[in-house]
Amino acid sequence: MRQGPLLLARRSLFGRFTVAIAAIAAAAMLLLLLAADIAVRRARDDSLAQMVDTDLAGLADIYASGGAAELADRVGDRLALVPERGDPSHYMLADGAGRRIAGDLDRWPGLAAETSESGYLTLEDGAQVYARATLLGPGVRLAVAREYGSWDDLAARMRTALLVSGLAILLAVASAGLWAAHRLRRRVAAINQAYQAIERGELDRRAPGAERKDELGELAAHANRMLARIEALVKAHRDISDHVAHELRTPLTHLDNRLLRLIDRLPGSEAAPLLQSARDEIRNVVRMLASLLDISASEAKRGDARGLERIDLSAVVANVAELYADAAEEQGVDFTISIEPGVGMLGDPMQLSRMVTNLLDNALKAAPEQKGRVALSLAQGPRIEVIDNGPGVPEEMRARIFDRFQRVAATGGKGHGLGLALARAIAERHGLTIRIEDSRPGARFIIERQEES
Amino acid sequence: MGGMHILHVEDDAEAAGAVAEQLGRAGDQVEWAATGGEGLRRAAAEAYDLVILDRMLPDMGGLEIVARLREVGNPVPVLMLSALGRSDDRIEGLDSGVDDYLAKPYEPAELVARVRALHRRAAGMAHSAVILFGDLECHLKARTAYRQGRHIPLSPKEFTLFRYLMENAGEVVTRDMLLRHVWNLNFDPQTNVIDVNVGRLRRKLEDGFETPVVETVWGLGFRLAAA
Repeated sequence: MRQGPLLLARRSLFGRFTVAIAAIAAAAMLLLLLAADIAVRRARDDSLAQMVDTDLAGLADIYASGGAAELADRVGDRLALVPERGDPSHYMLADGAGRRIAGDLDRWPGLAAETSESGYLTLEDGAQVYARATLLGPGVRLAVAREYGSWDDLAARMRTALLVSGLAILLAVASAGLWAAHRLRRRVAAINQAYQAIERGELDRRAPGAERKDELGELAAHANRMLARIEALVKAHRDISDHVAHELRTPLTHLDNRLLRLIDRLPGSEAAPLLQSARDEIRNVVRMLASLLDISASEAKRGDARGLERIDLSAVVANVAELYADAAEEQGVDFTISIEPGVGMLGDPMQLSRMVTNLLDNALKAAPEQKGRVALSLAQGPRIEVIDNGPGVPEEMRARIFDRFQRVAATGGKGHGLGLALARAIAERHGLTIRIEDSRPGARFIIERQEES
Repeated sequence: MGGMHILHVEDDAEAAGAVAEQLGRAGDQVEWAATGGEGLRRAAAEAYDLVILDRMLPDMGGLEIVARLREVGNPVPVLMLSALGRSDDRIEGLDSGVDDYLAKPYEPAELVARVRALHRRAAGMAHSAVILFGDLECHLKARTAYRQGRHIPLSPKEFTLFRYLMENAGEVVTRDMLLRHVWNLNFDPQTNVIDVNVGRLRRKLEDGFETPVVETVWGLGFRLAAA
């Protein structure tokens, strides 16, 4: 069975497992990215503040010792020295009105010199800076700004590196997961395939991989031990059924023969009817025995397609319907037959005949003496319905009437209580379900194809 | 038609005695073989009219005996008389070359009827295009029935039933035999469906005529009787 990767992710345990692992890896990576970003930002803030403050302090010293002219020179010196690497600084020495005395800034940045305010700004030319201003003396203030593009470069490089390595990790995790999932799925699929074969009746099939020492191997080994047991039981069941039948029928046959000889020797005796009824009772026991064995045999072959042939179910049902049509008429029952032609299925025609026979027997017994009605229908699917207008079956009884020895009160308790049990066993042996519904009044038996689970 | 020469293979002496008595009373001569091996040897060596086989024998099962007989082209009619009486068992038996299958315990008259029917079929008495019996006629090709020259309209199933009765005219046919040969069913419905179906045919064959032709044999089945 080929499955696309999407379907695999949704339907397969291992697929879901792989997806979950990949999702966790992705989330971990995002978290890492975020943490790295915050760390870089903090380092930048600290470093910028320190550099700008140091610069400012140095310039303030120069102002203290050399005055504004000296400071203007030094600012010019610093501006002339453009660093090859690292971020450039910008300065502005201004008077009380904000007019430039020295420096490369055209306008005083919006920082209060009196409080030595600092902050991140965008300069007029668009450069992003961290700046601090201070009041050096009356009417003299200084602003030092430093760009931090290199920090942004660093952050970007780090993000790229993290993203690339993260994606590589994610890819590795996903493919490792998929590989493991695929391998596990193949092993489990092989085990499932073996089970399917067993369900079809190949009882000698075993789950593969039982020799391995891992969990799946253990599972397969357990299952195989159970299967061996089931196979032995099924075999034993058949042998025992044959033996029970033989061992019980033989003495019953002897008993019957002796009763018969007694009847022959006592012609016209009062004992004769009693002896005959004893013989009838033997017949009943034998019939019940046969039905019980039939039920067990059908149950043992449940879902086993071997021994089934392609049959025309319409013809099989019509044959039984025809057999019952006259009996229904004689009984005064209005018997409607509606059979869709050409309904085919894989089946055992004798068993299916018997199933329909049992339902019709049941319906004819349940139908009232006056204005009795029985309807039999067959439709594609296949779907068989047998409806009667008898007293029906009370709701609380419905689940049980297909069990062995559950006589239906509606039929006056006639029969040995195995007819419906056998009907169910035969239906299930053919992958069909049987159920009963209320047909107001009366009972409606429905046999149809089991929903694929 | 008594006087058949029958071989019975059965390991149980009491069961064998009963069969010999029941068929003996009907005028047949039954020889008994107590093991499968002996049964096979005698069935192959002598020309019997019919062989009755038990299915479960200690040395060689009845199914194997039939298979061996059929392998060498021995066409002797075989009736399997077995304690394995489930529907599946019967199908298995009939599939492996057995001509008829009767489950134990059985009604002695049923055994006699089956033996007669098997022998008749093997003797080819029913292989003509028209079967005549008393004032009844059964035309196999045209699938039509006549009584005293008068056409009796029958449904297809009724004709099959009529034909089977005619093929066994004068002999008892049991309900089981009718179920198997007319309706192709090998189990016993719990209701009297066979009686009803035979009853309908009987009315068609007898309404407007003086004498009855279909006789009910109490507790066993039916017989076409010469008018």
